[in-house]
Amino acid sequence: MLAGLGLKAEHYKDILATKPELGFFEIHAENYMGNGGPPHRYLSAIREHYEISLHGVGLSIGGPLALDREHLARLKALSQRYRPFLFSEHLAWSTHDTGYMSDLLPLPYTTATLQRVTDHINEAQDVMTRPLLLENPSSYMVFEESTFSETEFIGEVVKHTGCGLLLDMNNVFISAKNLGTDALNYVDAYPLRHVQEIHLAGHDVVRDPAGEILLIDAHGSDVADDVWALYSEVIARTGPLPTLIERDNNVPPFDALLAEAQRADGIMGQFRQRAA
Amino acid sequence: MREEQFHAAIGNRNLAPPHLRFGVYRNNVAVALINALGVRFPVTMKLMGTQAFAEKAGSYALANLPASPVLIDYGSAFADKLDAPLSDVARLENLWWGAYHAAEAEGLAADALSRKSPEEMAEMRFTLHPSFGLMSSPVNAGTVWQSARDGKPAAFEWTSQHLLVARPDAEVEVKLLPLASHDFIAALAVGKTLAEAYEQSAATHPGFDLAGELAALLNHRIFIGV
Repeated sequence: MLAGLGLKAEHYKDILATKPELGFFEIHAENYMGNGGPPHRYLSAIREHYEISLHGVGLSIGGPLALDREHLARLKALSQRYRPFLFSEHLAWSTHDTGYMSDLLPLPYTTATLQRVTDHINEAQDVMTRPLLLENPSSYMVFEESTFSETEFIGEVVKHTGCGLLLDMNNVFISAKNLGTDALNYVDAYPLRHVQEIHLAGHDVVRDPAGEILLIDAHGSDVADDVWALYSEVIARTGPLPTLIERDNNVPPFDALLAEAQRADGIMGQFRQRAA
Repeated sequence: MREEQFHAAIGNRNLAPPHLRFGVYRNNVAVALINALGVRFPVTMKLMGTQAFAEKAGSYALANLPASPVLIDYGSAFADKLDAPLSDVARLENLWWGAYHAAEAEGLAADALSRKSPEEMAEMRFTLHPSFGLMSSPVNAGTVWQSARDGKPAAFEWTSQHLLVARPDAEVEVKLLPLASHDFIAALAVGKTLAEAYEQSAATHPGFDLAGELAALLNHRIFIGV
């Protein structure tokens, strides 16, 4: 099985009691940066039975401020302690002059921001002594100064850092709807051969102040059918890849998430060989 | 919209949104921080109601952004922004949260002091478990907290409670203490010797049972060194 689930505190006991067949559990790194206690105890016990992927949300790779060295050191300590098979972060930023925003905020795609992101990823990879997988963001609007498309920008980052990629299908779908572009065109232009992990999640549908449909990356519902369809398109081209079902809000009983992971595994079963 | 406009407007909510959809980002930031406080103060949220909690937590969060991406460390001062007596439930949740994430440490064995002479014991100072926390409330904060967790709400009463919070083993434990025990532990926790803590407790609490108190604390494994 190559599909995995995000590790939630409310499921610790179920997981250890039932030990379901799963490819891996993904942890939000920042949730395991306490000194001790049940989070580390359960994670250590779960690590004895499963692979772990380490997913950071707070490194702020896309922001103008220097990377937080203490935060990098904390990430490295987690990597050494739990020996994750994948380590990923976001093409986004979250640390502002005024404090930590706890959201994945966007950046324009320019020569200047390419240099910034490249420097930050190189620094992170040097400290971590392992490749970082960069996740594509969800977009609600575009910056007027951007001179690269997102796929071009990501391709340049890969070229200059040697990083891998985490392709979030929900984010591709959301951004295409919100920006009026085509998700399949995005996939066509994306450097798929560098993808080492896929994320699937649910989104909310709201309306913006002008009354237009706006999709929000909320991780609070089941994966949408359109996102499953896009996932099949990608897996047909890449072959099977570690695939995460992300669920951070309205967390359902464990079995419901397990069923979504099994659905991803079923789709991968149809495309055993990596097409590329 | 340009990047500098985005950065200015996300840092200052008094600025006009630089884009029609900019509200999504402001909303996401507020919701994420309210959720973080809700994770730290679940009982306080239950007692206030989701809506009232979100309003209070939102105004606190936007005036006090986290200093680091480690949200485990965020929000302890929120308890002080609440009105009494609810603020005491939030203080208890702070101690619980601190104990939940505290470093692991091995408690002293129950017989650790059995071979010490009375003179040695008198001069002893104890190191408490990293998860140790102690509080006093003029209300029944511990009962209200426990009842709300169990889904059987209890009303506040003006009867004082003294609470010991610790995670000597896998799970966080909250114990109600008599005032004499509270004062004795509080004296040890600030680094007084056993003799000093005893003298202080015996003076204010006639009939203070030193051997019994000490055995109970060793049994609870909240001392990790002398």
